[in-house]
Amino acid sequence: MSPSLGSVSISNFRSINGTITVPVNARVILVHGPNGSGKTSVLSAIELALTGEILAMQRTDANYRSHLIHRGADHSRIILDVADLATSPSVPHQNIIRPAGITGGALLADDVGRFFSERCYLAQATLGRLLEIYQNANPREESALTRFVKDLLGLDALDALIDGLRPAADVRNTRRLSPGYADAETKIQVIEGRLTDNRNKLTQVSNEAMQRRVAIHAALANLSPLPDPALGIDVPQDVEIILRRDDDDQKLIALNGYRRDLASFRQRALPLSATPEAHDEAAALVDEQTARAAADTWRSTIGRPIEALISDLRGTFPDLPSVASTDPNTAFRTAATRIDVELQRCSRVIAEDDALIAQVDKLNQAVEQSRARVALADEQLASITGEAEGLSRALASIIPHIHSDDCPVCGRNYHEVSENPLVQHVSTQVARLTEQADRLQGLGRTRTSAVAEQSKAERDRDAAIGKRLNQEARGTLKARISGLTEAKRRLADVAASVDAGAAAIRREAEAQRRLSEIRNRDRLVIELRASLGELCLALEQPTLGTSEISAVIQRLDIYVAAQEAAANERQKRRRNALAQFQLLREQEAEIEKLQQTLLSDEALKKRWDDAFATAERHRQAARTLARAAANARTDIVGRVFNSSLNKIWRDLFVRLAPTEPFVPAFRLPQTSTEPVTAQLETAHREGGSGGTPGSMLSAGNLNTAALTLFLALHLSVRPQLPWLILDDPVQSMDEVHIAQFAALLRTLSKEHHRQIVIAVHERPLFDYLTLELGPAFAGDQLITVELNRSNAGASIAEPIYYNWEPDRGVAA
Amino acid sequence: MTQSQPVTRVVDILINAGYRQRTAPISVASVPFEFAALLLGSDHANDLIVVIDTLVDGEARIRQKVEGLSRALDLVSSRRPLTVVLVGPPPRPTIVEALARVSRVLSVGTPTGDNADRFLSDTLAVLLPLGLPSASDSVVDPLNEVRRQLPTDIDQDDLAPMFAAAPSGTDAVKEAFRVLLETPLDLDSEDIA
Repeated sequence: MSPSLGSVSISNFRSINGTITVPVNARVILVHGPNGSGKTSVLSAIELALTGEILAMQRTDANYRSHLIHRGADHSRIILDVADLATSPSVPHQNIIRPAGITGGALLADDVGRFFSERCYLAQATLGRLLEIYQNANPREESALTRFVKDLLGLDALDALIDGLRPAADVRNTRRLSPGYADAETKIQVIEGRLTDNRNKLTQVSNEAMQRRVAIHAALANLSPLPDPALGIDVPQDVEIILRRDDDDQKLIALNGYRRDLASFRQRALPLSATPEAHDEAAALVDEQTARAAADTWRSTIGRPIEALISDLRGTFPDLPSVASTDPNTAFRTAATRIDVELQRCSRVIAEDDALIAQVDKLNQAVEQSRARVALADEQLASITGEAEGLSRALASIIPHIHSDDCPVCGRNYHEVSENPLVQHVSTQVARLTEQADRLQGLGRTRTSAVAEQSKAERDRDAAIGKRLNQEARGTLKARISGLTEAKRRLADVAASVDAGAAAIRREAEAQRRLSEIRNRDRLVIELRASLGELCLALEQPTLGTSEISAVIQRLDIYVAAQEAAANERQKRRRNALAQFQLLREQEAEIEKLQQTLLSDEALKKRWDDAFATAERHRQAARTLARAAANARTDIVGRVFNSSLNKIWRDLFVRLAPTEPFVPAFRLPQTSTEPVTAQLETAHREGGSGGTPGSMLSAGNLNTAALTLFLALHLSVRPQLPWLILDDPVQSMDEVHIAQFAALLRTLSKEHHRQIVIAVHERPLFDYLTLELGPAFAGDQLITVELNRSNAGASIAEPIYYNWEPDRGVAA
Repeated sequence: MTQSQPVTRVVDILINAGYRQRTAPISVASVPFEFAALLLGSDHANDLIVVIDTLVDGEARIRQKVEGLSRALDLVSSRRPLTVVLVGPPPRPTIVEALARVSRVLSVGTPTGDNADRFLSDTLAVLLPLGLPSASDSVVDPLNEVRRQLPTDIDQDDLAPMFAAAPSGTDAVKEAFRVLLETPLDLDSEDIA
């Protein structure tokens, strides 16, 4: 079942004053009323209930909602009943409009509501602007025509293809869309760059390796032993063995040893060159014998008593050196010095003892003086009352208690004894006692000091006595002084002959040294010549012959140095060749690695190239698809416009304006890439195109063009709602048009089952439509509603129901 | 009565459109009426169409007949809308206006030439059924249309994801295109250092 309108009840809405209920549950509803009776209010109330807004009012006044409540009322109410609406239960829908807002919302869902506003309801205000609305599309917004085309054709999928694949046409846009695509391009470039780099590097390293081989061969040619000449330019592994076999090391070690030997020989030969004059060993021997004889003579003559004297002195100084064990001078001087030292010591000890004797006498006197002072102090102390201090304090404490001359102690009157008062007497006593106490203290201190002085002098005296020599020791010392003085005198007697002896002994030693030196030098020459002879043999050099030792050493030095230089040079070359060889090995390894990298990179590049080629093929396919979609869109739009919209528009327009030679139509877009836009034009019925409708059609036919466009738009798409609600659409149509229009409405109602609500203000048209749209078969029904106002101004709606009855005038 | 050739053409068109011709003369409210042809509407239309050949009937006669029929219909409270088709030279406008006050007047004249049939259909259009675009005309499958436009050598499998994404919108197509581009390029293991 299709949805159908039931009834609408309206209170205080726009020009409706009070409440009216308009039944709309018939195939055709004709609403009639004079201007201002509320026809438009009824129809816009239906729109508001269905869609939540009034599109025609919104186009002219965005604030229209505040003018909806009837003047003087505080709120409006709309109750709409719709049957068989798929999306909503069939209960009356109610909107209440207050200044604060509208409650109740829209009965229809958004898209269905839009269909109603654009395709089912033709408001009076819209009719005048319809052509303009469809002609002037704002390119930035989805135009009414675009929306229509999309509703009609569902071209969204095509637009999605065209817009979505737009990046395929331009590689920069493709990169922007697909990071993977851009990445792949970069990666291929990276691989290509690396391939070029590695190829260049391979060439360079190969060239270097070739040069290095040539260099190694040259180095081998210079080495002894010569390498196998069969070795080609390819350097085999055994070259390394050859190069590492180094005989020169041993040779250099040996040469180094020879050099050290030579250095040692040169060092030892130095004394030979330092005393070049030859010495006669025989002469030296005679000199030695003579000197020895002279020295022996001195020892046996003059030396003997000196030796005896020193031997005697050993009783006192056991460690004195003898003349024989040292030279006479030393023995003599040592003995003299020791005697002097001992004499000084003994004299000092005696002098110290003498000083102690004098000190003891002095201390004895001091002891006596101190003793006398102590006795004097004791004597004076005895004369002073023992308890002077305590008694003076006691008496002083009694003085306050003496008030008269009566003694507080014994009770007797002091006046009996003295003329003076008792208080004076006691005070005098206190003063005397206090004075005595002070003296007593001073005497005590004096005595203590004297006792201390006495005991110190006694201790010092005892100490001095303890330090004194006893008589025996003092005697021994005096005897030693005497003996030593005698020995000193005897030494002084022989002093002159000591020097002579010393000289003889010195000459003897010198002669002996020289003799020994001459003997050593001869031995050295023999040894050196033997060693050098061995060295010559080892070095395979001519023997010494009669050459000087130094000349031979020099000759061998030069030879060894030359040998070393040659060996070093060979070693240097060998090492250099070895280093080159190792570098060559490294380069060969590098070459192999580079070749492998190149192989794998070439394979990698091929894989990426293939993958990229596939992606590129896909991109081109997508471009083709986008083009195909654009062409398809153009084709479809063209076909549909020509076969659907323009065809039915022409059909409708011709029905209402059969004598008008120009028919309005949409001219189609020419390009396939642009969105659907169309322009209005007119076409002559006999063929050929005219100008725009505005310039080619009369005002009445322009109105007809707009009305038929609205109907064509309604009829071209699948009707979501089979309703046509027209608000006074024929105001300026002449009678011919009205008759045609009535026939068209009848066709729409009876043949195409549209529920039609139409408001008219002209009485004849209303009557004519009542006749034309009257029920034509059983079940067909027409309702007419007369809108009016009571004397008090309240709105009145008066419905009349027409049901079908067989025609009595002309039987079917 | 015999029909003139232009009247026959009009009647044929109307019969084709579902109207039924009454061959016998009719009488309404006991008044007999005679026209060149008289047709009645089909099941769902109660039109009464009279065809008048202006060459045969004079203007005064035509007016008299039509106004008489109209009055007779009113008299019996008939609700049939009356349509007068005038074939032949058009009468004076005052006559047509007078007829239009009581009926719908369609003046077809005497169409000649290549467009005669078309002109006739246009004039009678209001009586003819309204042909709406058939469902198959407007409800095309746009994507099938695209497939038809594609060159034959293109790999349809490659494009399938984009076709599948098209109903979901531009972004879905873009994403499908991106995936199509990037799938062959997904060489993870071959990553370049």
